[in-house]
Parts: sequence; structure tokens; C-alpha cells
Amino acid sequence: MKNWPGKPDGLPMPEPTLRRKALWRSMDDLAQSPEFMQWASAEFPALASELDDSYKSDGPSRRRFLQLMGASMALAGLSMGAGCRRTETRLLPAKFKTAEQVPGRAMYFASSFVLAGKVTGILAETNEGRPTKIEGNPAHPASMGATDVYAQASLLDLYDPDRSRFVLNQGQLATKIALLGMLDQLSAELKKSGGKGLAILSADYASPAIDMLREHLAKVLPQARFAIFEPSWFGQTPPASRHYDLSQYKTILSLDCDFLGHDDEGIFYKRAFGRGRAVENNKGKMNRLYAVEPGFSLTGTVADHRLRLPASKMVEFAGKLLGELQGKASGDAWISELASDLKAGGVVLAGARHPQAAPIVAQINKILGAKPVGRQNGSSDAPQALALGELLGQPASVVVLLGGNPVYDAPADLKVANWLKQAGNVIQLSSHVNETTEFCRWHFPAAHALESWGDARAFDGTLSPMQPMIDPLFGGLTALEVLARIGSYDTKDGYEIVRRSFKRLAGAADSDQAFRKYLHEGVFQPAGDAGGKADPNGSAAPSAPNAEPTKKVSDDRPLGKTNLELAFGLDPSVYDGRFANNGWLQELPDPISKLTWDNAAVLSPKTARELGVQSGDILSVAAEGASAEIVAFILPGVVDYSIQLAIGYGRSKAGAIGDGVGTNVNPLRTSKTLGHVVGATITKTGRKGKLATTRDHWTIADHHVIDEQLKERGIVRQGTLEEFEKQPDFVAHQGVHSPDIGNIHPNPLDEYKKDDRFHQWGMTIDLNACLGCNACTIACQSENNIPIVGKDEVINGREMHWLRMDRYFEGADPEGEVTAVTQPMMCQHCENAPCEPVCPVNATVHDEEGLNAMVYNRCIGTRYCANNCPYKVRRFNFFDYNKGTIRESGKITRDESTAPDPLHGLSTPQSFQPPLQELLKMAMNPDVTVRMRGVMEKCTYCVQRIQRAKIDQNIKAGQSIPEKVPDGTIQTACQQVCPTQAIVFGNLKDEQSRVSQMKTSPRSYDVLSNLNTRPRTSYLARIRNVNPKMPGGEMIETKSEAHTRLSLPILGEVRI
Amino acid sequence: MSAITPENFTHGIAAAPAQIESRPTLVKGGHSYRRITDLILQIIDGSTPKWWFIAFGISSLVASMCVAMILYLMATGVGVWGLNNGVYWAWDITNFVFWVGIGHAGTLISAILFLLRQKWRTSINRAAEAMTLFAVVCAGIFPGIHIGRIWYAWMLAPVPNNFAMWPNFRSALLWDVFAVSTYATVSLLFWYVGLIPDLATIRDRTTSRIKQIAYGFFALGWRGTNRQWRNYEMAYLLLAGLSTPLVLSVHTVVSFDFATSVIPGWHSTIFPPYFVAGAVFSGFAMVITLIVPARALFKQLQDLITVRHLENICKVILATGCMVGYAYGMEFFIAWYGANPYEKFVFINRATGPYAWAYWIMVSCNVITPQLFWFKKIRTSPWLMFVLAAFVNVGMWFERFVIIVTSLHRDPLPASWTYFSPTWVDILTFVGSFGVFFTLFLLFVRFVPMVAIAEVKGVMEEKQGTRGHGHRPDAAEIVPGAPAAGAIGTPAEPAQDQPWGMVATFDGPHDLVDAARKVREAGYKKFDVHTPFPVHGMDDAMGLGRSKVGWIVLGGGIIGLATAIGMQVFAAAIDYPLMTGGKPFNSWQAWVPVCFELMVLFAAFAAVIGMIAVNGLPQWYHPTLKHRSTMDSTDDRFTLVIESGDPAFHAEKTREFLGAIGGKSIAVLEA
Repeated sequence: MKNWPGKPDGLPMPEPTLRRKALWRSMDDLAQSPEFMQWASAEFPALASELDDSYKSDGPSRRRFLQLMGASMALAGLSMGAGCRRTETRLLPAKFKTAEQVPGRAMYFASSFVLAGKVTGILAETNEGRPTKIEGNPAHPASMGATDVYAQASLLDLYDPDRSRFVLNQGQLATKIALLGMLDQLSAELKKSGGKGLAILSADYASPAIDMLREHLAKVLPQARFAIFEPSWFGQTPPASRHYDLSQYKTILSLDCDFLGHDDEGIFYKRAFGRGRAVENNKGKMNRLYAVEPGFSLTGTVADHRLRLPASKMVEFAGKLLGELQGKASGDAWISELASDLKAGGVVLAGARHPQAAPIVAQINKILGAKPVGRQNGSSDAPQALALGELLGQPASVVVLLGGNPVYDAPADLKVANWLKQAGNVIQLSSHVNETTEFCRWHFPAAHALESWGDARAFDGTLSPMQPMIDPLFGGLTALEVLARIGSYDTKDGYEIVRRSFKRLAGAADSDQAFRKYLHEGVFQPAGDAGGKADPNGSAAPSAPNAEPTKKVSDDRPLGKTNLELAFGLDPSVYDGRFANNGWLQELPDPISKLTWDNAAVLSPKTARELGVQSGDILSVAAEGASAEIVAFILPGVVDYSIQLAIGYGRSKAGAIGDGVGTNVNPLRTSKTLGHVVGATITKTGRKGKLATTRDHWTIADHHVIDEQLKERGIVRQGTLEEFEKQPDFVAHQGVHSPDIGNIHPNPLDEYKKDDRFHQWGMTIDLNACLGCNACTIACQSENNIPIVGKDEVINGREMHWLRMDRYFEGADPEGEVTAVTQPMMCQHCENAPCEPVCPVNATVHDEEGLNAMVYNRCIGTRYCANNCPYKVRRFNFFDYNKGTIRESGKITRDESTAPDPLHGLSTPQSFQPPLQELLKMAMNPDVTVRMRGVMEKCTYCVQRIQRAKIDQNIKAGQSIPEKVPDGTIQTACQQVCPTQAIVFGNLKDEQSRVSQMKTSPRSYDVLSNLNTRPRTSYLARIRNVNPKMPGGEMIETKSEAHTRLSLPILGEVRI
Repeated sequence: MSAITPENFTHGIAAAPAQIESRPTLVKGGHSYRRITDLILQIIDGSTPKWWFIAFGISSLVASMCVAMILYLMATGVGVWGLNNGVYWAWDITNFVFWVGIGHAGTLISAILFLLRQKWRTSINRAAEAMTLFAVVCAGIFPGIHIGRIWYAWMLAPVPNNFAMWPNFRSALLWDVFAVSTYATVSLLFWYVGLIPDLATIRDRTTSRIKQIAYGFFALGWRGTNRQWRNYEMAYLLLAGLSTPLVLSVHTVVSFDFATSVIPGWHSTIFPPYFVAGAVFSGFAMVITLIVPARALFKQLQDLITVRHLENICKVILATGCMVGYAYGMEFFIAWYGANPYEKFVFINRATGPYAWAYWIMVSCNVITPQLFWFKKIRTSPWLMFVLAAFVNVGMWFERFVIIVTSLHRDPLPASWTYFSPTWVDILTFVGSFGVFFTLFLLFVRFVPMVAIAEVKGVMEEKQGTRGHGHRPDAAEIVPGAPAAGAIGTPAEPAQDQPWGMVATFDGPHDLVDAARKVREAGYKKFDVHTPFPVHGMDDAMGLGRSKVGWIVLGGGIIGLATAIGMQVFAAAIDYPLMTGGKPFNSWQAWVPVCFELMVLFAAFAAVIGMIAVNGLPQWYHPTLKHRSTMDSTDDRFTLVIESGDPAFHAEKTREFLGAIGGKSIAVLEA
């Protein structure tokens, strides 16, 4: 038998004889006929026992079709209205139609997405019983209808062919019966000993139900020890939970806190920040953002003033700022001006990477009068958990790992692997066989969040449920169920536990009705939680370990080329490594460096020059006695002598996609230096590595060319607030002068514009609100079945994203101060589309409503349209990407598997081969064509959503004349996901529609308007709220193309 | 005694013999007509030289590599090339334009030089036209395969399909389809029409039965009578007239692929003339590349393709090279003068950006190299010009590469700037296309007369009466199965023995013209002359009017034009109107290229089919085809045949009459 991707290296595993769990099975299976059982047990004993399992009434109900209950069926999504919940706890297979279910129509279920303790309320779209898209839950405070890249991409994790599929006992396939027997036996033994020798290490699930079980555990097994660890904490305990409503503050200082990127409660912050950023109808109230950071984060690109500062100086900076606010002059103009600006109603956000700065910042905010919102202790009411170091301080005889991957991501000095080796019995619940599995006696698959019952609690106390919408594809348990078993809880049923957890928090408000409403709406606000527990004055000190002033980690020598700083950070794509096997995220370009499929030693041009390093050199980075080899990447805007290293790469057992991608920098991090370390050195190995960026081998060399061209072309238009107030139509004077020359010949579209039957679709993108967070890119990918292409193809420049996030640096000298702007770029739906007349086969044409339509089955692939697209937003299937499989190198090859579709029975043993593509097909949106090779594709304004809305409207209208779709009914995927609502889509014929309103803004402009392409997508210029009193904040007038243009030298220098 | 010049047919004025003698010699060596035939047919009829097998082996191996690359591409996808988002076209279209450009010289030499009465073209036009055809074959490969899934290429054709959609006649790429296929077809017809008399010569000269049948089949029964020549020359003239604008249109349309786009560096009105000049430039360079070695290998051709021919080609290369250089300069001037920052940037980037190396290769090969042709020494040294021509070919390939790739790799949005590097598949496919080209050319050299035999004879001067046919038996003696001459034509003979006619040989074209006039004046109607090449003044002498072929061609052209207009208006404005690029449904401006191409295509077919039909061809059997003296008239004899069906025919009197007007070897033709 051939090798299969899920096979963990180094584990003596037999060839899999089990097929992957499919949703549907043969009719024999359905009937559970004795013949089938006999055949199955004779042929495949392991399978038989699994099948056997389904007979057990009290067992976890695997192997029933769609597991669990009609409840969520009844709760057929917000748009469907609440129905009556049935009492059965079985989900019906999608082939049995329920009243709510209309074939071809998606259903939405409220659920939660939890990322390292941060909760986002979601609505999961399911089509014919399979989740196909994640949307934000508008009712949830940490979503407000938006999501982020991780929530979007978590869908792909559900269908990851490399997910753990089998119970393993010492690396051998084992049955679930054996596992459950072991757990029951273990819990009985533990009960006797009071939990002595038991150590539980859990990921942060932010789940009140788990908190409830932990309380139960503390009673039943008093001697058991429990710890939670998340690499994103940059410490061993969670960072102080302190949230501010940014819409309330005029001045915001980010102290290396990428709150507009992936730090903290992203959407909550982004939405509020965006509100405070609005310039129209917000006169004089636009907020001002200062960012102090070592690397170049999204927050830094948006900032009005950005200061490059080494990570090791952050605490000192905070101290100086505090001093300034307390009246002690720091002697630095930048800080003193910042302090005086902050005094006018400001707030300071401290990054998780600097726990030592947190108490100082808390003090500053107290002085500024900034009041945190949300609960003081965030999501958890549970008994205090141990720090990872404390747990590892004592040997354990039984270790239970609930998620996480400590062997990979725990601080290097804690030597988790050794501790696990010493423990006799290590039991791992994990979605994947990972680096830690090797040290575990038992491994069993974890159910995905979309497959399981659970609940979660957001930073402000809002409770949201987690509901299964599909039978666990590969079986699998949840942390909830495992804890219930270990602690001999009286029910092991996830649903029942969640119901009890709700009862516990709802208190008097509890009722079946309330629970149903909770499941339906996806949120529940426990009484007295919504700010009631909030820390009103922000005075509480953060928890002890983080506040503990650490010894200076370096000598006092200033940073230099022999005394470098390493600054570690989460990766904007793979986070802490948990998404390493997620193709969408691996291929998602870093917002600033545009790197995909890799991490790199990111360093400033000056540092690189002094060290003689070029992008692509493989460096050996050494610190604290450890070293790692990593490819260098030069990025302007990074502080000198500080090397930015993203964690989460270099996974050795992530799966076919994530294995061996990038470099693991975790060995360089000790528990004292999780955020940064000083005293590092680099040496060139002399070898070269290949980095896949979606942009620019020319970044540095051609920097000034691009800078000049950008200004000349006026592609991204921006100005200062002062300039905008003085001359609101300043955008009209930027770029190439392009008078409206009209059309030489009448455009047939003009006739349709006059016709009342048709909408005229259009879009605006507010660059002032756009933060460049990439959420739109992934949402588009998920909605439109956009394939990934693999690292080699990205290097070849063939990424498929329909919506790309363009990033431009600004600033004449890449070694000096630069700033950056981001601009989402997708099909502009030009009325005079240059792509259309060049197509020889009419495969791309205009429709009556102004869409530039792409006829996939008419396209023969001349690529002429893409050549003639001045925006270069068309994407070509150079290979059959949608049929390909990503192999280890990130290269796509054809899937050789000849296995039949698992959805159609399993009568022959051949069908037991893993049919990888069949699984990934389940993630596809059935409303969107999957394109084959040789076909051009591009943004369609989510035409499938437009058509759905129009059909719905027509149904409503009945026989009468087709009605117009009301404004706001249609949200494109990118619009829906956008945390700052920068993207607005709608009917241009309706003057009251939001998009029409936006187009009347004086900031509105078309990109490349000089070509008279008349794009339907227009942009609103970015406004920077520059503080003229800041050093470097003076306005400099430059003459360009006879129009006055104000350049934005907004950066400063601080001597620390 | 010029033969195929337009003035003959348009004015019917005979050139004075005095002028003939003062004309510079186009053929050296003082060969007889027969010797010319021998020189050329030796290549076909002689044994195959060893080098030919070696060269053919190598070429066909390289060609099969091209086929292998194409199969790989079809099986995998165009991703096997180095293309990317941004540079969606690179070597594929570069190679296409390169080969189409080379394909220009042949038809240009044939048609334009013909119309301009440049008689030196006759030695080289056949090879150049063949080169055109093979270059167009190579060019045709690339747009076909560049879509990867070439089984969808049929969607370009205006045929009903399951989408009920028509192709988009506004697309320059579709114009290309019409232009290139029309060009290929018309070039093939033109080439074939030129070949017909030579095929007849081979048929009549070869001793191999297989060759007689094979060449005879394609000769369609050509006999070289003046009644045939009359229609033939009209058809040839009109084909030349049609091909001349066609040649210009093809590269104009190819340049529209770029010129009608919005991409800076492509969007340029200078492209059509600049592309045509470049095409002529590269085409003539390729002619040098082929002819210099061919001359060296077939020494007998050196008298036909003289250094003077090569020198003329070099002069054309020099002229077109200057035009191309001027165009390069003007592009920069306009980019500056137009004050469009996008345009300006693209040109500065061409000369200084990442592809500056390609730009400077282009400039040095295309602008500097041809300047060396100012020196007569260089213009007359074949191997030196061979080297320089190779540089020109390299330079012209780079010109297309520079236009396509440097314009695409720096887009209006700096975010999509990229860089293109070819893959091994790119390289091998391109190299393989040379294999295809040379394979076809070697087959041509071996099996088709490389020099237009009839045409060369028409421009050379042969002293009358010195024809060396002593090695041949007298025509009268070899009449197959002929009874004694006296027995033939006895009036008392039964009808089945009635001879078909009577033939007389004359010393040369002048004598023949005189004889024909006398025969006509004597009242004969059913008579004709057989000549190796069209003889000037013969139509008047025979009292023939103008050929009808011209009217047929006019009809064909009108039908073609009407078809094109009807098809495009129906498809785009009536049957399935589609909005593309904000253009009106009936955007007539976009219909012009296809109208022109179809008009030329239909007219060209009308010319060829009309000529064949009016001449009563194909007619593979004819009494004159079995008589030695009339057979030899496709080689070097000038004969006159009077049919027995003529009311004035009388076996004895006619014989006497023919003898009286200077006829020799008078014989009776069996029916």
C-alpha cells in the first residue's frame, strides 16, 4: 500500500486498514445488517469494533450518521427563524429531509471559534450537512458579524486530510473501545488515589463548561494538578486581561501591541478603532494612533506616528512615558509630545510580548483615566491553574494533554519532552499527530469545534455555544468529554455538560426556552457580567509571574551588529504553529513582508548592510546557547539590530502541508526570553534559501523607483487630516490628471442603467478604514473555492487569491524611516473593461447589472484578458490546482489516489484507501464552480450571493414585477468579514444605498482613472492624523505634477 | 523578352529586343534553358547527398523534441512554462511573432517584388516562399499551444456551438486567427500556383514512373500552352496583388494584439509599420541564413542565385534595419513627448530595468549590425552576411521578447510587478520549432524545385539557335508509335485514325510569336503555342483577349467581403449581442480586419480555382502530353500546334504552311 499523508514519521504504524470516516456509508451499514458486521469483523477487526461501538447506547455516539440531536436542526440559523426543538439527541443525515431544510439552500448555525482563549462568535454555513463557510455572529461582542483569518480558515482544518484519524496506543493502531476502557479504568484508579500523580496540561479553551468540570475535578481528585499553557501568552500565565473601547479615545498608543493585527481581541479593537478613525461626519474627532514597535506590524502601517524601538527597550520606554506623565521630563521631544497628546484623552495598549511593561502601562492608563471594559479576569472563573513551569516542576505518573503541542512550543529550558518521558502514562487528545505524540502512550483524535458540543466565554463575559453541525469525520473526543471521563463526571455526554454549564451561569434565567434561544442566537449574557465585574479604575495589578521584574537579559552594551536582539512574535498566518497544516493560511501572505509558506529572519536594510546579509541568505542565529538556521529577509521599517522571528514554523509533524515549512525558532526561547532576547549573534552559512513572497524581489533595490511611481500614479491616495479639512477634494489633484473624456461611442450598459428592472452593482473600499488584516482574502478564498498553489508556485508568481492585499512602502530611503499602506485589490468591474474586448471567445463579458462576468466553461485560456487588465487581478489556473495535493515540499502534484468517492459506499476494500481530495471537496461552496486548469478566474462580486438575494426577492415579490434587493441584503464575502467595514457593496442606482453615499465622499477616487476604464469599485483616500507638533510631523510641501502634494514624514526618533 | 511582368498584361506592349540586351544579367554562366532545368532538377532527380540525411536526421530529432514538449504541455498545463501572474505571455507569443515575422519575406519577395518588377526575385522567390510557409507553420504552433488545452482551440472558429455563442470579433487575437490563417492559405496557393509549370517540367523530364505520377498529379495536366499561360499570368498577377496588402496586414494585425491593448509599452500607434518593417527585416535575414548554406551545398545554384541577389537582400536588410532603429528611437520620443508617466516609465525601464540586457541585445543586433551593410565588401561576402543575418535574427527575437515581457512585467500597479524566467520546457519548445522549420525546409530542398524554373527562364537571355539538344533524338523521330510522317494526315484515313493535330518547333520565342501571328492571319483558329515560360506578345499575336480570371477574382472578393460583414454583424449585433468593454454591439471599426482578410481569402481562392477551371484543368490526359516535342516545351522547346479540328486544317497544306513560316521538326500528333 502506498504511503499516506497522515502517517507520523518515527511511529511504527501498521498500514492503515481503516478507511477514513465518511459521512455516508453503504446501505448495509445503515441497516447494520448482521452480514455486514460479520464481513467487517472478519475483514477488519478494528473497524468492526468501531462499528460495534455504535450499538452501545451509553457510549459516545460515534458512528451514527450525523451525531447528536435535532436541536441544532431546529435552530436552523438566524435567517430561518427558531423552530421547535425536538427531544431526540440525534442529528439526522442530510439525506433525510427535515422541515427546515431546503436542498440547495444553506443553513446557518451559531457556534464559537476559540483561539488560545480568545472567543469569536460565529455562524457556520452548512450546505447539505457539511459546513462550508464561517461567518461572524453579529450578536457577539467579539465578532459583530466579522471574523478574522483564523476563524475563516478553521473550516479547512475540519477537512484536513492529515487530521488524526486513529486511536494510537504506543504508536500502534488501537480501538476506541480499548481507549474508553483505559480511560474508565484510569479514572477509577485515580478516584481511589485522589488524583495523585495526575497532571493535566490543557490548551486555553475559554470554556465555562471546562471550568465547571475543573471545579468538579478539584473536588474528586484533589491531588491532581492542572495547568494551562498557550504560546501566544509569551509567558507562563495569561496576560492581564484589560480591554479598552477604542472608539472612546482620541489618542491611542500601541506599545508593541499589534491590536490591528493578530494580537488580542482583534475584531473588538478593530471595529472600535475604525469607528474612531472615521473622518466624515466626525469632524475634529478622528483618533490618532502612535505605534512603538521593533518590527513592522499592521498597527504600524496604520499608525499616524510610528517609532521603531527595539523590543528590549519597550519597558524603558514605558517607564519614561510614565515619568513624563508624572511630571518628570524625559528630555525626549517625541516622548514628551506623545505624553501631552495622550493627556488629551488617550489610552495605551501594551503588547503581550512585554509582560513587564503591563504594570507600568496599567499605571499610565490610570493616570490618563482610561477605563477598561470587559471582565477583569477575562473568560475564566475557574480555580487558578498552575503555570507550565510549576506543573513541570514535579514529576507525574499520569499526564493528560488536552490539545496543545508542548514539545514543540513550550519554552526550551523547561524540557517538556524529558518530563513526559519520565511520566509513565501520557495520554494525548489532539487534532493531529504532532511533535508531542511521540512521547505519549495514548493518542486519540480530537473532534473539531464544528463537530462538537462546547461553550465559550468572551472577554466581556458573553457566553456562546459550540454546536456540532456534522458528525465527527474521524470520530474524536473533545476536551470536555475527556475531562468528564477522567473525573468520573456523572455524564459524559457533551450536550448534557453544556446544558449544565449554561444552567450554572444563567442561574435564575435558566430554562429550556432560554437554552434554545442561546443556541439559536449564539450568545447569552450572564447577569451581572457585562462590565459588572469590570475593573472600574484599572488599578488591579496583573498576576504575579508577569509582573515580576525579570533580571536584565542582556549586558548593557548598546545593540549593534555583534549584539543583536531577537524579537519573537506570533505569525500572522500560522499563529503559534497550530495552523501549520492549513493551506489557506500557509499561503496567506504576511501583511507586510508578503512572505508565504515560510518564516524568516526579518531584519532592517541597515542591519543587513552592516552584516553583509542579503535576502535569501541562510543565517545561523544563536542566542542563549541555542541556534537555528533561518533564511534572511530584509524589510524596511524594522528597527536596526533587531531580528524579527515568527514562531509557528519548522513543524516536523504537522502534516503534508506544514511539515518542514520554515524554521522552528522555539529552541531559542527560554521561559525568561519568550518575547525577546538580547545578545544574539548571526553568522552566514553561505547557503541560500528560497523564500516565497507574493511580491517583490525588488523591495530594496527598486525602492525609490516604486516610491516615485506611486506618487506619480496616485494609486494609493492619502493626505493628512489638516489637508483634508482645508481641501476636501485633495484626492482629485493626486495622480495623473485625467479629465472625464466620456465614451466615444455609447456604451450599451447605459441603456440598462436607465432600465428599472436592473440593479447596478458597485463597491467602495475605504482605505482609511482598511487595516490590511487579510481577513477578506481568506473569506474570498473560502467563499469562492479558490485553490492554494504551494510554495513553488508562489515562487513562480502564480498565487490564486482573487483579492490580494497590496502593500506599498513610502519613504525615500529604505534604511530610514518608512511607512506603509495597504490596499485591497480585486476585480474593479470596469464599465469599459479592457479585459473583455480582447477575449477571442467572449468568455468574459459584461452583464446588465454592471458585473464583469467570467464564463468559465467558455474560457480557453489565451490569458489575453489578464495581460490587458491594468489592475492585474485576474488569476490563471496554470495547473489543475483544484485537483492537486500539496506534498511535503509545498509543491503540488496530482493526487494519485484512485480511491472512489467515500460518499458512495464502501463495498470493496479498495475504498479503504484514503481519498484525500474527496475530503477537501466537502469544504467547497456548492454555489461556486470549481475551475479546472487553463481557465482564467477572478472576483465576481460574489455573484452567487447576488443571485441568491435576487431570487429570494423575486420569491417574496411573487408574480409582481421583480423588486429591487434592499440595500444591505447582499454582503460580499470580503465585506462581511471586514472588521472595520471598510468594504461596502450595493446598488449604485439607489441613491440612498450606503455604497452610493460613500461614492459621494470627496475622498472617493478610481484607481488608474486615466485609462477611462470606469471601475465600479472605487476607493476612499486614506487620511493620516499627523500631529504637527511631533518631531518629524511638520508638513513638507512637495511639488509633483503641478499639484501640491503633502508628503507624510511621520516618523520619529527616540534615544533610549 | 520578359515574361511575367504586369505591364505585359495591363498594357500588352511588347518590350523591344534592344532593351533586352542592355539588361544586366540575372543569370550567370551563359546557360541554355535546358541547362537551367538540369541544374535545378539535378537536386530532385539526382541521388540524395549524404549531408542531407545527416541534416534531416538532426532536424527531425529536434522537431520531435518540439512535439514531445507540446505533448507534455498538453498533459500538464501551461504552468510548465515560466509564466506567472503578470507575465501571462512570454516565449509563446514571442516565438509566434518571431516566426510570423520571418514568414514575411517569402511572400513579400514574391508579391511586392513582382509588382515592383524586381526581376531578381525569380531566383530566390521559391525558396523564400517555402520559408514563409514553414515559418507560418512554426508560428501557428505557438498560439495553438499557448492555451494549454489545445483541444479547445476550435472555439475560436465561428461555428455554432453548445453555448450558442460566437467568437468575439472585437478581439485582436481573433483577427490574428483570420489574418494568419488567411496568410498561410494564400501563401500556400501563391506558392503552388508558381509551382505548377515546374511540376509539369519535372513530370516531363523525369524518368522515374513514380515521380511522373506524383509530380504529374500536382501539375494538374499543365501543358504550357499560351491559352493556359494567359489565365495563369492573370491569376498570378492578381494573387500578387492580393498578397501584397495581405503581407502588410498580417503583421499589422499581429501588432494589433499589442497596439489595441491598454498596457503601457503595448498601447502604441507606431506598432503596425514598425512591426511590418521588423518582419521584412527578420524575414530577409532568414532568407540569407537559408540561402547562403544552400548555395554552398548546391554549387550549381550559384549561377542562379548570384552574389548580386544576396547583395540586394542585404540592401533591404539595411533599409528595414534603419526603419526599425528609427522606430526604437521614436518610441522613446513619444513616451517622453506624450507626458504619460506610465509610458515614460516603461521605456526607461526597458533600457535600464531588470531586462535592460535584453533591450541592449535587441538594439545592438537590430540597429548596429545592419549598419555594416553600408560596406560593399560585407554585402558581397556570403558567409559574413550569414553571420550578420544570424545576429539580426537573434535581435528580432529579442525585440518581440522585449515588447512582450518588459511591458508586462512592470504593470500600472507596482504591486503586481514581477519577473519572468524561462523554464527548460520554454527553451526546448522554441529550439524544437527550429527543428520543425528545418525539417520542412530540407524536405522542400529535396523534393521541390528550389528555384522557379519557368520564371528564371523568363528573365534570362538565350541566344537563339544555339540550343544544345544534340544529345536528344530529333523530336520527329521519337513520336511514340508514329507511322511514317507521310502517312499521317492522309484525308482518306478512317475517323479513328484522324490525327489530333500537327506540331512544329520554332527556334525561340521571337520566331514563335511571328509564327503565331502568321498562323492566325492564315485563318487558323484552333491552334496554340507551347512554351516553357509565358512569351511576351503572344496574346496579341494569337489574337486572344483578356483573361476572364479577373472577373472571377472580383466576384470572389465581393463574396468574401459580404460573408465577413454578414457574419460579424449577425454574430455580434443580431444573434447574440454581448457587452464587451463598453463597445457598441455593432462596433463596425472592429469588423474591418476580418472583412479584409476574408475578402482576400475568397479572392485568392477564386483566382486559383478560376484559373484552373478556365484552363480546363485538371486534365491529366491530353494528346500533346505524349508527344516528345510538346513535352519538351515545358523545358526548352517552343512549339506550335494546329488542331485537326480546325476547319482550315489540311494534313499536307498545313505541313507546308508550317514549314514555310519557319517551323522545324514538323510532326503529326496522334489523337
